[in-house]
Amino acid sequence: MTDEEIVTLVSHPRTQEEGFRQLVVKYQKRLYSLVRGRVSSHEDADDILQNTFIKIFRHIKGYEGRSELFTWMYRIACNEVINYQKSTSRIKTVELENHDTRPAEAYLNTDNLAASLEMVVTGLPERQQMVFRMRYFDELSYKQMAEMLQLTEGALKASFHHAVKNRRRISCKTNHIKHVTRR
Amino acid sequence: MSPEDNISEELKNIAPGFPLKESIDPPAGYFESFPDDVLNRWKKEVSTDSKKDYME
Repeated sequence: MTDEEIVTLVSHPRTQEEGFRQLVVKYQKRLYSLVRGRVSSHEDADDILQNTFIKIFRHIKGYEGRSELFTWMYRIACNEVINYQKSTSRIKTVELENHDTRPAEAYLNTDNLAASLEMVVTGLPERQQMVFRMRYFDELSYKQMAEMLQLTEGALKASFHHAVKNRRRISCKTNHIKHVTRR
Repeated sequence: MSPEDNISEELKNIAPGFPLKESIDPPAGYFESFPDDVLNRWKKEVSTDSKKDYME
């Protein structure tokens, strides 16, 4: 079902519930993955995902179609994550230098996932961090990112490519430090 | 999704060997029950809101 068809269903009281259901079915996996990558447990992700959809239901009448539906929902989901983090203070950002130097993939199956993801990108310039998160972890297209950040797709591509190369460099540097300190 | 939007393909081209993101799956059956869970919560909230409006 297309986004337009879903929005049409939602806009009529008789078909609203079916529209909401289609919306959840279509986007639950993508939004779950986005949220889960930022919090440390499935339970937290579930709470946030429910809050996100409730907020989407409440405000979808105000969606004017100026951006893609997913881009609009992405913003709501990110805000929900931020609100949740503020209210629980469960997530702490991690300084790269204070942690061990396992490669990124070693972190991705751990319970401390959110902290691990932070570690991977901390150390990059601010804009590269943001672009790296949106592209690598959230798998947004350059078009969606350009829409949100008001930057050109070319500039975003360049930032992402720099971020990938820089992340590799940081990873090599920390591995080198670890190797030297072991000797 | 165009090939350009595929992050795996892009990474293969710009940095072969760069680790790909691993997805973290929820408990089995989560996505089957989630739509009902969230819709039930929505209905409950809407009904509470209407009661509040009525009382006011």
